[in-house]
Amino acid sequence: MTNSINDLASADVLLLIGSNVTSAHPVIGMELNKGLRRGMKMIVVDPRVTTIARRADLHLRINPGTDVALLKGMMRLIIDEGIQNQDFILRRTEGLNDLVDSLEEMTVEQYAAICGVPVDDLVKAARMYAMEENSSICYCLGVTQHSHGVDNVRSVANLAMLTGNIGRPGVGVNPLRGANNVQGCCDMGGLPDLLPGYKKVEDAVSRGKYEQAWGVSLNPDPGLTVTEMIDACLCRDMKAMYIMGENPAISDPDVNHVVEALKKLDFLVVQDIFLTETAACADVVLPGATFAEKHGTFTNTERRVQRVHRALDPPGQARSDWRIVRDVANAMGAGWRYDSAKDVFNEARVVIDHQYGGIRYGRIERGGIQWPCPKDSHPGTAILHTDKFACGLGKLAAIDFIASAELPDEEYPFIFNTGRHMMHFHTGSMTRRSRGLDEMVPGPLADVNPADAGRLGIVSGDTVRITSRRGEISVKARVTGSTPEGSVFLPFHFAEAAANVLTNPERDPIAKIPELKVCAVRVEKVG
Amino acid sequence: MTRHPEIREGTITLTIDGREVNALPGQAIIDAARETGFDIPSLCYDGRMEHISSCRMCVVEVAGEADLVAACSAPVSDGMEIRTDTDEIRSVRKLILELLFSDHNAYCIPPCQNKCPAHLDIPGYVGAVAEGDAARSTRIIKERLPFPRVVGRVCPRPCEDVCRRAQNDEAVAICQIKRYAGDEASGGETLPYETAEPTGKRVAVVGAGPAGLANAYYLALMGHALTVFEALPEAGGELRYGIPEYRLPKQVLDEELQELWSLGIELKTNMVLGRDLTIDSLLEEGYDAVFLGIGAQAGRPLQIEGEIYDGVFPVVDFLRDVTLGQGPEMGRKVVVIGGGFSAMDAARMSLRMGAEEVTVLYRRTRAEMPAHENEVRDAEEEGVRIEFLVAPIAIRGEHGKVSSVVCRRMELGEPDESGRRRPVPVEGSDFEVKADLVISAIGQRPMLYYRDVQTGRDYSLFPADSGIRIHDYWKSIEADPVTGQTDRPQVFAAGDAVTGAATVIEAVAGARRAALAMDDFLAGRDLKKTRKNLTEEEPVYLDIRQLPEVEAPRQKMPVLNAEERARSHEEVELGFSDGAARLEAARCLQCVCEVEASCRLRQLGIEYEILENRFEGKMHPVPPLEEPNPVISRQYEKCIVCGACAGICDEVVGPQAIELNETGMDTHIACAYHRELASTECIFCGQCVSACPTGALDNRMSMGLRPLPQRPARKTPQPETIVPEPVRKTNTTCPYCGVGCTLTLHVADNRIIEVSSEASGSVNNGNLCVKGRYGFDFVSHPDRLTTPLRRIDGELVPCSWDEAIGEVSRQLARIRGEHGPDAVGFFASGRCTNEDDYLVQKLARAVIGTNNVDHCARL
Repeated sequence: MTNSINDLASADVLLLIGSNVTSAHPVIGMELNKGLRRGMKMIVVDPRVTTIARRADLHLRINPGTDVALLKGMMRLIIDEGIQNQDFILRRTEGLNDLVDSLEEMTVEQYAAICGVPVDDLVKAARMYAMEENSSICYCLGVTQHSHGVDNVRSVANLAMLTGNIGRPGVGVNPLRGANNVQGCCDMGGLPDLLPGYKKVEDAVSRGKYEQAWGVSLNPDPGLTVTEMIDACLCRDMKAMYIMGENPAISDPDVNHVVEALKKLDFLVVQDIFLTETAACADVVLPGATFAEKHGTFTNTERRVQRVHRALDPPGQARSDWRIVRDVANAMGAGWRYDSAKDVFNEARVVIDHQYGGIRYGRIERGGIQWPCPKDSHPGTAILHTDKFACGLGKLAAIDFIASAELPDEEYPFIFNTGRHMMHFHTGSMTRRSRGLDEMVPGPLADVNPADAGRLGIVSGDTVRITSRRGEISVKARVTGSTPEGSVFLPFHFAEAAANVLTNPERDPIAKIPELKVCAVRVEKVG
Repeated sequence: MTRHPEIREGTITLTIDGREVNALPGQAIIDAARETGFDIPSLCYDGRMEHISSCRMCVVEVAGEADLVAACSAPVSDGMEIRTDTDEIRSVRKLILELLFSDHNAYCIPPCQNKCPAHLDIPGYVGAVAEGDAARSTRIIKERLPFPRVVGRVCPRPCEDVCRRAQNDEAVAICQIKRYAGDEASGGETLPYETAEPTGKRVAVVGAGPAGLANAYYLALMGHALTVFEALPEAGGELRYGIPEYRLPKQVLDEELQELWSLGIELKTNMVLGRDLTIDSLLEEGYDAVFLGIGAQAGRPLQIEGEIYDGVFPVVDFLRDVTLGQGPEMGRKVVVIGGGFSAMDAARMSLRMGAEEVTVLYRRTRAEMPAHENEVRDAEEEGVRIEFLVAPIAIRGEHGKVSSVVCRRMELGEPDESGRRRPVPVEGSDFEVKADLVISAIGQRPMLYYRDVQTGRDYSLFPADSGIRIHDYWKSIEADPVTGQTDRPQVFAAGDAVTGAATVIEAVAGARRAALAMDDFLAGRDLKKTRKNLTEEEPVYLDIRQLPEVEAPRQKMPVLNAEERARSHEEVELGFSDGAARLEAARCLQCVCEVEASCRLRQLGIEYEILENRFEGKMHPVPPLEEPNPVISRQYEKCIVCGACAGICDEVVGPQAIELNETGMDTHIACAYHRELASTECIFCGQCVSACPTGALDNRMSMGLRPLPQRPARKTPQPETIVPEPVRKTNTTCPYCGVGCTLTLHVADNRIIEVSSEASGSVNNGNLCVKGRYGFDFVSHPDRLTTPLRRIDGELVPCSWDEAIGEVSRQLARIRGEHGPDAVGFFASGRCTNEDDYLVQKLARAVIGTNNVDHCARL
């Protein structure tokens, strides 16, 4: 997030795209509720009628995968009406002409037609967003999990820069991180192309700094992403994997192919708290500790580094994960000397000095600190890009609208969409073992639109078979107008009807993010 | 801190209770006061909401204002003078509280537990029996009473007198459930605590009665070495020598005491204080402390003419001698004087010993009898005749032997200082009852002299140089009523020896407190603090009506029939069957409020001394409620209709799932149309629970898991050794989505039992969602991996850490060697800590030499 969570409600207009916030981030939902009571206007972009969409001033039910067209339509109108922030564009950005050229490829009406929304609504949304003093954009995986996810994100950034909604309270571009420490894992270098602190592995200078810090020479070639590694297993380029705290056998697209891939490995080690679907494939399983059983830090979606405190002992011989990794490294002769999580953090903080340099355990016992915090005296950074962008001028980029990789056809006439349920989390390994949550939502339901249900003779509670080019699942249906006609929605937490059996592993060419939000399926009533 | 909506920049100055403080313009008075250290009470105040001013407890005086103002809604202004705690304010707040309490249909503390002298966790052990777990029930009892089988047979059951079930039908058979639990669990593992490591301290206990044995039991559990000295041939004191076999079989007593001996407590019998040992001799022998539990073994004299005749016995002597097989020759006609338990015991024992006619003389009426009505009924069924309103005035004898008792009829006059109506003699009503044996059972006191029958020598138990002070009138040992400490710091006393003749349960309660104090004494701790800790706060509760929903008659205890038993020593009461015990235990209304420790209404009730229900009358409606959801419990009879829950649901969360319904006296909180929560827009975040100032809304998953120290019976802080670990609270960061809410984990017994968000200034400002608040018990799930696993012959089997780490490092090294570093891949995790992830990528890059490291950011 460029801004902070408690800053969201101070916007005059909030544009919420691809985020079922009351389910996936309920406490941010509460924050937005506060803003709405204060008079904040809200535009929700989502094909589905979610709880937050019902509270919106304007709900744009776009066709799945058409975000770029919508955002371009809005920008076209803003340029046409001259309500862009010319001062901001001149001072802080470059590339306006390219952007304008690309916008002029189509009319506002044409963009609206691609998205399947009334032109009036698109116009209203554009004016609302551009003309109020402070407008903020908040988005989530509905924007990113597409084969053109990067285009979506850059279009969002274009819109914010075009209207000058960057760098002060109540504005910004605010992606909501799905898991507690995805932000921190990225910060720590849990990425194949980036060293800790977002330094490119290809860059010799950056690499040199780490080579010095770690006393080894480093591989200059970027590694493979999660989905690429799975592919590499299949073609036997990858021989061994070490998986900590992840469950790709449920979370990754086309999971049948994931399990097949893992089975091809010579050696698989999984470190987790449960014998997950992935751990069941392993050669060695290492018992880790839950959040409540270890010390450390998490970094949240607003870049706030916060303490994790050990509240109880792990069961049996289970251990803190950092300790297990240390022991493996030392068994391989690494000679690491970390006696506590704090020791590890203190090393990371020094090598990631631009972001974490001033963050010490002692400073974050309460409240945490938002990076960048380069020095001990630095208070942390609530809002990014206040004076300039990290790269200098912000690039207004010309983006083409590209349709999703797999669209409905005669054989697979429905769009299949995945997401989260409020009561569950990710692959369910924690929430499905939490009594209260699992009792309230014990299994999956696939949402089918009433018009489609009528045609197929489906009523709520019927079992349906959903088939894609990659596999099929059976699941009970819920007939609801919340999902648009021609589309089916299924939460992905449930192994017994794993949505990711069906999803398309097609990836964005840059971010390598898979297209989990759109693929084509067939729906049939069973029995 | 929440600011008033109209907040402006800069600070202003105002005066609170005479002190100048700064505040922000527009800030509510309560916020300005709390930020500067003044405590203004409120029930509905919640920093997460605009203040709703519904409870009015926050009223304060503002100079120049005619009326008191609500501090949570009135903004501060420059130069304002505020008083927060005047007599007028306190009386208004007290009135408000009295009104709230009159509409709060609940108990903080179960009345039975409150009434029990030992404060047993009655709902706890009764509930365990209802669940069919007699062993757990017994362990709960033994935390405060080592003898459930004994006391379950002999207790006068003050608890049952106040049982709220009796407001509807009959009291729960609490005592008989206790007996059932003890009998069932007998011989199994029933120690309430783990025995502490030996301390190396030695304690001598004088007297193996209920007090001495209870004292020894708890001290032994705390790791001290115990020796008990007993004057008689066997242990038990009053339990063995004062209570007849048909009420308490010796076998039951012996079995129950077995647990003490198995703790290593040493028993030395036929050791008489004053003759065979003295306090000084014990201390000289190296005992670090002494406990005196000598009981009250001397009968109170009748103080009437003729008491010296042969055949007149104090009841203690009579019962003891019968047990020792040295009882008097049984007469045909026996007269027992008194109306207590011992009187009934003597009367019924006389029948069993062959008496033909047994008459009990009691100077008041049946209603005033100290003996339990069951005992009286049983005695009468067996043929004992009771003369009420009759007092003996003389004993006549022939040839030195008793022949009759001269009696006088009485009538009841004005109440005496005990509250009972004083018997007044009726002139000219004298009559005579024939008797060849007279047993006086009008009271006992400690025996201060011991007469050796063989030598005829008298020994003083407490000669002047013993350092123990004796009460002039009651002849009891003077000791601190809380700690039991006597004038000699190493010597403690409790039970009948201090209180005069009382019940077993009272003796045990005092002896247990003394044990806790002695443990502190032996550890060199200051007993002033101990005394304070052991002083149990007088509980506050109002007697309000919460009637059972289902009619269920009390289970009848099966007994031997009267004819069969009157001449037999067999135990009269036969005990409950499993089925009867469970049915009876299920009748318990479980008048327990689990949030007793955190309830703001209760805290204010105690502070403002709300001791009675001044406003009985109509209460707010409590619609019948079906609430099948697993996370939120609603008990609206406890609701004070402050509206905080409805406020937070609407203002912070949004769905308006619960709201205020109707108006005036009918106002109540409910879901619209009294639906269950699941059929509303409720998202089960539990924010309403976190806003509730009482127990009307509670976290269902935490109920029953909160450890017992939070329950009233265990509120007294106790030595660590015999008390389970209290709840520890740890602030940490939520494991679910990317918001990073600060969670407060409540941990007891290495298990998360509840989650709240108590840190101020956190990202989430005290708000939580359903996963953060209720998604915690995966941590203790039986599916957790507890050991490393290795695949051997296709199966994953447990192995050691050394094996597992060795195998991982060997295989990774081998594959890197054979196929190069890029043949190895790593997944870090968006759910692990920064420290975990940093090391995984460092393992990949710096040890293996590959950049193949990624995680689920894209998934």
